[in-house]
Amino acid sequence: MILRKQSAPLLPWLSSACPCNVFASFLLVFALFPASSLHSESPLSEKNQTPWRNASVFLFNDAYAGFVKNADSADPMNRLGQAATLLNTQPRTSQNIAAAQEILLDLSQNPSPHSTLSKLSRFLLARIEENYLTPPQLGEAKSRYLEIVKDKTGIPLLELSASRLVALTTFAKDKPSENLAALAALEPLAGFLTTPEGTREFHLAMGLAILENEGDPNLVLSHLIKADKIGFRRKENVIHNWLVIARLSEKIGNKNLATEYYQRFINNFPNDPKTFGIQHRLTNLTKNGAN
Amino acid sequence: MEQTNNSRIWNLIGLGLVIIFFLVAAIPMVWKSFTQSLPTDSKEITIRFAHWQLEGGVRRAFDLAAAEYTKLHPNIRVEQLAIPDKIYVNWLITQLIGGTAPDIVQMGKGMSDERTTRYFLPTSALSTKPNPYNKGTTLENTPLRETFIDDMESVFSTTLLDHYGVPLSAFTLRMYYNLDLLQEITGSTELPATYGQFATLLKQTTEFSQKTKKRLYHIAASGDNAPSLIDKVFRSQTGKLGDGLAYDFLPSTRPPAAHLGMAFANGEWDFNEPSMRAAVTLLRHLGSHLQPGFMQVSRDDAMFNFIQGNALMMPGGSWDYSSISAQADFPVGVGMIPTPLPDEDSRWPFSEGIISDESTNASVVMAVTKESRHSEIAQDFLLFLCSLATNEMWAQESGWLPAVRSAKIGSESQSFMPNLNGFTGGFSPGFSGADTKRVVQTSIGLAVNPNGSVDKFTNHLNSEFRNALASDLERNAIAAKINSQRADTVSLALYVLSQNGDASAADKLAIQLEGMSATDRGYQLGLQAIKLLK
Amino acid sequence: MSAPISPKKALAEWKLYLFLVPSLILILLFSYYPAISAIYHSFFRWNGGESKEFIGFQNYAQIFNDKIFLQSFLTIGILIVANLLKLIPSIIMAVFIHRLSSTKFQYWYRVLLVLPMVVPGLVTLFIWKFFFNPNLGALNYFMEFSGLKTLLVHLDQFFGWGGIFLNDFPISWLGEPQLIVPSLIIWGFPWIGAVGVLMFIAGLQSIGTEIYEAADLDGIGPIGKFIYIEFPLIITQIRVIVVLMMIGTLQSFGMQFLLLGENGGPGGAGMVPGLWMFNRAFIAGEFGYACALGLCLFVVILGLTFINNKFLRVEK
Repeated sequence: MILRKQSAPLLPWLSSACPCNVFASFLLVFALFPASSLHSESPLSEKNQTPWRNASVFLFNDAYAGFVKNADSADPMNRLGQAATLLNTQPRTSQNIAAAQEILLDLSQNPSPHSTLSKLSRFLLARIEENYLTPPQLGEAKSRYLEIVKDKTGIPLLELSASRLVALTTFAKDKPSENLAALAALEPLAGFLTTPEGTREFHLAMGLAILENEGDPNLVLSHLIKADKIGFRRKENVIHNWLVIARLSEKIGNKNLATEYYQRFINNFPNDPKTFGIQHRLTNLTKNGAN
Repeated sequence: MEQTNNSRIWNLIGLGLVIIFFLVAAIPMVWKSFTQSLPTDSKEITIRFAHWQLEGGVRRAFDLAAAEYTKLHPNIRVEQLAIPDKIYVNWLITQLIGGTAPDIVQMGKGMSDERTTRYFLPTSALSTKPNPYNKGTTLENTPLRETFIDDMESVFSTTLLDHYGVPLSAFTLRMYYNLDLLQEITGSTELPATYGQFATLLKQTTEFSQKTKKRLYHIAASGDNAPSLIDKVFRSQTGKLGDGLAYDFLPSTRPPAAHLGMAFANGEWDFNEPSMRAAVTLLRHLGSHLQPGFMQVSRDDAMFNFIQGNALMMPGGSWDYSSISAQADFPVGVGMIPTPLPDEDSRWPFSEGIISDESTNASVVMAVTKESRHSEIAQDFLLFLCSLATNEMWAQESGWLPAVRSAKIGSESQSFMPNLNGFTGGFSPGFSGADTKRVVQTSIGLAVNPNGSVDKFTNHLNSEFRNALASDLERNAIAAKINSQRADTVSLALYVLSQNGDASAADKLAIQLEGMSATDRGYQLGLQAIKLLK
Repeated sequence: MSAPISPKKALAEWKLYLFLVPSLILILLFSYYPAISAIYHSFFRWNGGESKEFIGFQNYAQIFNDKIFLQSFLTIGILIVANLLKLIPSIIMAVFIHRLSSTKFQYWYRVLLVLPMVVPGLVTLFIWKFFFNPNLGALNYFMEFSGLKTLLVHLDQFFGWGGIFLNDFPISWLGEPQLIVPSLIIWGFPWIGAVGVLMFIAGLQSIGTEIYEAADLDGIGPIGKFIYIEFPLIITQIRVIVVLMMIGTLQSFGMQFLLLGENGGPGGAGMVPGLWMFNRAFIAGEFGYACALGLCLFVVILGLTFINNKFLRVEK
């Protein structure tokens, strides 16, 4: 168990915001990490960790050099590291992307197509198809994301595939009604998500996507409230979600919900520059009713 | 022969002088480089810190802080390097790459994510513990992060997921008044509190100039300070514009550029929108009182005019106060930049109310370089600088606002305290980036010049804005895509490290996951906006 | 001309070539390396940091759709023509000095011409920026004092210039789009450049006195001497100055940047190719695109230099 109290400054309003114990959720999240570990072998040695550390702080060229230097190591993680850093080694070229794809295609099958390593590789392949190729291969990317979600990986990073699917669907068609239909088809994905982060991001993405396409506001609200119940780490994301819920509630005449979320914002962020305006809005809401 | 000998002697003298001057210049430089690179075994340690704040009060404040630190630690000497801001970026990058950077530098100019992570030590680890220099104060047990007015949000990199440096100050924008002139013009030194009173003052100033035949600027504006004035004017009138947009989901906040772009593309707003026209009308009124050609005047020229007593007022930042009060030989008043209040004047039906100071973000960020040979001492000095007592002393000495909560300020700085009792307002046309800013700034004359008009400005913007907006959104989308791409590698690395028991990597990953989705959403939104605009 | 030496003999003293090495290194480092780097980066999407992406010729393709860049060549074309005309005062000054009978006075006039060269160009620019100041500048003071402003106001009303010149308002030289280019042309009045004058004088001094004596015998007046004798014989210097002037004008943006800012002033009227390159690099953060713009400018300058060399060749 890893205690998060000191490094989670957002806890005060998170814990007052929702009835469920968000803190417990985070403990659960970190308890899940060992359960979804990449391999049962011993942890990475210091030598093998260094390139990963470099990659985690944007020193991609240094990281890639480190992975190449460790290339004689039998660890397939090393190859994964090579592929991942090739995606961002400078300068970024189509040859680097192609080389990364080749490694990832191999890793997605070897040593095992069902391993976490394989899933991570498939995830990166989907990302390449979505974001690195010109023109992007969105159909292939979507298929991979769907496959990863349905695998029920239990890894928050991989469960982001669900919210990525939503992002790709939001403006896929010219007609909002078609987009809404496509988004509705993605609703069942929630059943495959087991981590709070994955679930939260999915609901947030769905809520905002339906909103962008002027869909059912109550459906939007239900998604956004689900995301809120799980909670966010960053203050700006908390604020954004609360204010969208409040504003939308106000627009559809749900005065109670609007008041609840406006008040929550004011109570938790009394010194935010937006607070005065929100207080003003709340006062009008209380006086006049919803718009 | 004699002439040849003479010319030889003169040549030798000339050569000798060149050699002497060369040695005089070269020897100290070489000696300095040499001694700096020597391992130090002397008991005295020197910490160097560099910044670009050349304002006199600030340098004095830093000197005082350094002296106080030396009193506590007699074997540590702190040396200040004030580098002009025009060359700061080049100087800093050269020093960082050359391995000769000072122990502490001011961040904010020329810093990319790669440079930040390569050359600077993060302060996240420090931010969770109380500042030892706050012992005996109300902040004794408060984690460092929470001692700042913005909880160190201004120094948190959302891409690197770490805090870099500590902030020391905060800035606000105000209108400076020449109180002697004000007294002459109005018979009183009371500053205008409403836009109506402000407009009356401008009228009185015109009459005063005509009566006394004195060449007087009403407002000493410049290309540096006018944009913030223009921004405030637009924000004061467009606050309710967002309410009517299909994409308004965020009351009292700034709609994202992509949303505004989509709304513009869909014809939901343009510059003929009544609130926009009201903003331009207000701009025209205000602009007619700015000095002609103000966009081509520099900040120093405008300040020169104000200090010389050629202007009644000047918009400026709290950072200007110490320079102005030191150089002006008249008393200086400080007031909010006035914007119309609702019900004050029927010409401004779109005004929501007082426009507040936009943010409470702190600034003047100082960070320790990785190259520092005494990084622990340098970090300790940083903690000392941002302690309650020192930040308070620093703020009072410099005349700037403090970044630490509960720090007391001098009475003259009270006028600069952020005013949060107001609306954040709407948006200004240059909201999306360099090209929309360029279009607006190069068109301002159409609004404010004597031969300009509201129609000329709005028609021009309606025709030029679309392409500029599309260009900015494309650039923003590319930046979002690059961030998204980099996040792929970073998040995987964090995941791998977290699986190996790295708690801090797990923590960062949790934050990263929120950011990744937001970036993806923003990217798709941007693409959609560009598609609609083109 | 000396006879060529054999390669064997030339390489026998190979150690002497080592004296060239320091200069070569400096030229390679500070002249060639930046240029090669610019060519390399013009094929990338590069924001000036470590992050760059190879995009092939996309930057170059973008240039053809860049209205502002293409328009800037029109502005620079006007400035080149104006600079060509601005050579005339220098030529006239050189002729005047050359024709002075007293060598002492010739010397002192040359010294007076050269003295202002010690003032850095930047300082001159700032002084002119001050001249253009609408309320405090000397130019507006002169316009009002001389009555020229009244004339301009009448002309404005007559030709319908749209109220650029108004009686109750100071002329905003750098604040009106229509006055930007005239201001850039007026800058530097009386347009007598010391370097140009000295070069022309050097050319004029190569003319023998017997030619003047012959001209006097033929009854040719002062203007005739200039047209038939002096001007043809200094055409080489004029050509050199023209080439340097065109290259300098095409490359320049410092004056526009200082006087008008990074956006080229109101309406972008003062935008020139060099300034647009600066804008794209340092304001928009598109360094790769700015390198491509620079390469394009280089090709234009090269083309113009080639045309100049081909068509302005002077037969000996």
